[in-house]
Amino acid sequence: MTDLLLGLVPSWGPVLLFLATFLSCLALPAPASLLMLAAGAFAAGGDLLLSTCILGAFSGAVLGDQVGFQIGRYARDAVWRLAKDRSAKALLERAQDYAARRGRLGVFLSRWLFSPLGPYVNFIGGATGMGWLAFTTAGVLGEMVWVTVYVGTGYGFADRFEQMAELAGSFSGAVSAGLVALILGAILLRLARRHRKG
Amino acid sequence: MTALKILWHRHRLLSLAFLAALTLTCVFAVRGLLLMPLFGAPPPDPPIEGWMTPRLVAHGWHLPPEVLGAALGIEPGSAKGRTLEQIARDQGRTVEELAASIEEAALMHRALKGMPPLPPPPSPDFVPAPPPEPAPAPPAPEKTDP
Repeated sequence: MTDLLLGLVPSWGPVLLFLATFLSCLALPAPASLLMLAAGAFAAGGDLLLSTCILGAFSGAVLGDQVGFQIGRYARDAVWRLAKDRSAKALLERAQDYAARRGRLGVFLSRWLFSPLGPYVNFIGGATGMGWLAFTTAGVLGEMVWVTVYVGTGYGFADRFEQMAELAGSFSGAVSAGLVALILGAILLRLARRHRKG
Repeated sequence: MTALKILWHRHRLLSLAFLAALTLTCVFAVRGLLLMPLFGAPPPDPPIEGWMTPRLVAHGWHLPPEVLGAALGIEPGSAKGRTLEQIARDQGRTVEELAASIEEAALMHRALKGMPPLPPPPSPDFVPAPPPEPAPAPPAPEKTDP
């Protein structure tokens, strides 16, 4: 399956990248990082143009983010309807407050550094009523970093881009899981303190 | 200790999620560290696969594209974006056969690389110079009678 996809990269590069990044920004399974690295490698060999690959991947990612954000917005009313009791409503309000204050940084970093979390941040951004302009600016900047780093790495390490894909997967997996562990750890710590007091 | 117990009993799901995230972090980190030597010296010729293009192989093997073109019997520039699998199908050969040709051509190219370039082939109106006259024999050393 992977070999079949890789074989399509030299002839369908930019289109394939567009589809892959679009789907991966919606949490659908698509090997976007591997394909971006492969496209960079084929560009280094001279089969593809670096600029069209970056453009294809970038536009797919930005469009995917927008769709994810809109889905979140549609889900917003449903989420509020689900929150019937006062504590659930307070939690949602706190989330909204947090998204308004820190949302931009979260969106920017979840494009490239914590990329496995990206799609969920899109949905949450839309569902917590984050401003469209703030979301889009941070998203566009973040996707620029993501696409350039991956396609550029493929270009620079064309002779070992498959191993680079594994390395990138491990790295983003480690930092993303690490961030989730950190957040959950902080929540548990707060709960433990509350129990001690109560 | 009691705090941990309370968390484990009252927030089982959250605690499990935390442990899972922590385990995943460690697994990914170890896997990433094991792959770090990739940044070191470039690997030897990467294995040839059917999804690769002649240009990608040429790039990875540090060969001029003409060497690959000659080995695969394709015109320079005609196979842009075509994979070895497609070329093999067109030529009624297998990818393994193409890979063998590439390996042979690479071996030849590298063996020749250290040598000075060959002289250009003679033009049609080239008249070879007459062979030089044999040099006169050096005068015999004078005999000195004792």
